[in-house]
Amino acid sequence: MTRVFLGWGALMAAIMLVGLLFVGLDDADSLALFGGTVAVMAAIAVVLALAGWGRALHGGVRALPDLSPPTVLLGVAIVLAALGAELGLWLALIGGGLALLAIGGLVREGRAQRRALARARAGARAGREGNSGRLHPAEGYERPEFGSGGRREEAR
Amino acid sequence: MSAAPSVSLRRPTLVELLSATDHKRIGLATTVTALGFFFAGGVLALLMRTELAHSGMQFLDHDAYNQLFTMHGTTMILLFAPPVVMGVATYFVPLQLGAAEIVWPRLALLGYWLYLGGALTVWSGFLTEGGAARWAWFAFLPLSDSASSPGTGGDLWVLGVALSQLGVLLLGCSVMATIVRRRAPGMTLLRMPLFCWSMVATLLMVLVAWPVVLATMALLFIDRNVTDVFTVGGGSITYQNLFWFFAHPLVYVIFFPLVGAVGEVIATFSRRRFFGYRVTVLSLLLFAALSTSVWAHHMFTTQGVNNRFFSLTSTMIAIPAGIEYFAFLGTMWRGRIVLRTPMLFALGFVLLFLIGGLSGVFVASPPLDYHAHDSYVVVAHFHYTLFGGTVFGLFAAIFHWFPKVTGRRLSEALGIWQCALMFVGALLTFVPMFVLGFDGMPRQVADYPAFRDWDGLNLLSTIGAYMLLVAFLLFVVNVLRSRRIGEPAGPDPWGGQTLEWATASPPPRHNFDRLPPVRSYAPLLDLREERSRAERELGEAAGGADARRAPAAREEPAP
Repeated sequence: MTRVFLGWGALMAAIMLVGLLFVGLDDADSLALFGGTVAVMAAIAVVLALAGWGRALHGGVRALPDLSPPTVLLGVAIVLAALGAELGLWLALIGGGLALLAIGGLVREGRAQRRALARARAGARAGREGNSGRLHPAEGYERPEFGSGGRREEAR
Repeated sequence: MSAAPSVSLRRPTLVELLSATDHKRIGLATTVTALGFFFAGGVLALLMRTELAHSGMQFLDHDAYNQLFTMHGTTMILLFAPPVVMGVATYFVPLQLGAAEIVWPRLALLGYWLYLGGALTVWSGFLTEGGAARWAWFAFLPLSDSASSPGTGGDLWVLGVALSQLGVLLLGCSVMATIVRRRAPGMTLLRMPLFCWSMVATLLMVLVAWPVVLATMALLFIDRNVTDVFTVGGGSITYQNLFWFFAHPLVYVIFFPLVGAVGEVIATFSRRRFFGYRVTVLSLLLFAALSTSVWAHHMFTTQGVNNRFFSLTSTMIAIPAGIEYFAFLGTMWRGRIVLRTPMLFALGFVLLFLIGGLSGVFVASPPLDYHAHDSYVVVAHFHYTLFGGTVFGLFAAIFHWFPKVTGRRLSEALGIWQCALMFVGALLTFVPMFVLGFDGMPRQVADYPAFRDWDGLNLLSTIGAYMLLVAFLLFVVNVLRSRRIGEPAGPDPWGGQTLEWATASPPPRHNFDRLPPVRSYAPLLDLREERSRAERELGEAAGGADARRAPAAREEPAP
């Protein structure tokens, strides 16, 4: 996928160069917008390449949340805080307070997720069979291995 | 934190509905919310068309009319179209990729809530003392500065647009990360379904254009409330550059996903593999690059941009667009076309977008654009691209994927009536606008002089708009009816080609219990072809043995 970002950035750079033939260096707005696009694509490609995130990740064990009320609270908090810019400081403060609560809830969720993941990995290491996806009603989820000829037979 | 790959039979609680991180729930919530805003924006359009049915003021004053066309444009272009395609993508991209979940589900959930909060903020402008914003959906300066348009409604518009588009950006990031990281084994880039590739092209534009609108809205808010930003020097041209750098790709952000969806509908209902897959993928990427390079064609008449360069890039868009049209036609060519409702909408998309696209070639030429600028020609042109392209494509996708989402089919009879009414209604509403525009009728006016003889065409356009209303009401009836008594669909009602049809309808929490091998961009078609090949070989072997035993038996007629 890194190549897609790089290639598309190169395409935008080529169009920018054609634009330079027409506009020269006079139109600063256009040059900044084209240049910014090329820079963003290059930056994404570099990050993906360096972090090794450009390839699809298969298998592995993941713990997933089913619900995330703190995320909803964070969304409401951001909207209220933004509206506070127009309707008054009081609303921005309420939004800020709710955002703090939401962040606390997200931290708690993250810790629970890490614990569930650790348990799921331990379960996977212990060679737990019958991978139906459920490890514990309130813990974690082990992602099924698809199409690898392992525990899952291919559909016919 | 739990997740069993099975369908829950009990009704979800309110907390579960509001805070579920399942991509299907988020995608469905986003799509339904966006459709709600589509209906709200449609009501505003009907009010405007009723006002314009005859010359002479009827029931809206100029100020109310200005608010209505601002909110209609904002709702349709910013609060309906990008969110609805993001909603559909959030639901279907993980399914098409064979993924068990979306990447960063909390980010997607946050995106939905910011979108909803932002959209309600924009609409809350109607509740303020001075009313909603009244500067059209592009908020050009100096009309949108605090001196020309004071009031809370305007500020709420700016904040709401920023929040809602931040939500769209977050949803888009989540979908893009899923495409990068969660493809099933065997799902290489060139085996991704066309819809997923159209989302890649879309999200490349979102990643560069959406941050610009967030910054622009922040600067506009500062300009209105703190200090001059755009109201000095050539600030208004800079604002237009920034806004159109977002808003022109926006048109394609709306359009590309539906090109992908329509491509899949056409392939499925032509019973053929999509023709020219690789060339179409390349053309989508080229299309996206050119679409990000044409924003200033909206500014030809400002004299502030290089018209020759932006005319060149705008005209070049015809090349990738033409490739996609040939791919659609190539897929249908010699296919066994089945004219079900999704296919009818897909054909409507192809025909109506052609009108929008061809009229776009005219206004890509600066001399012709000078003539058509700010007239009803432009209104007709972009309604053919947005209504013909987006809405017909969206309904093709909805009729195609509704059985997957609900487990039940929509009624064919009601669907065909809806499609026919929409097609005739679209022609009746928007063709007169071309004629009115060439005759000089300006857009964004609440009234027009009686002596210009524009009454008849405007009345025709209004009748067409009411036909569209009837079509959309039929759709609502169809959805409500089919949810209760629709024909059960099974996992694959259409003979689909991509992975979402390999799981139950509706899909379980983690999408798949097992996946077929992915060997091309149409894995289910591969399976069917393998199966029919095997059956044929088996039949031939059995037939050969039978022939050796009793040659005369083959001559008996089939029962």
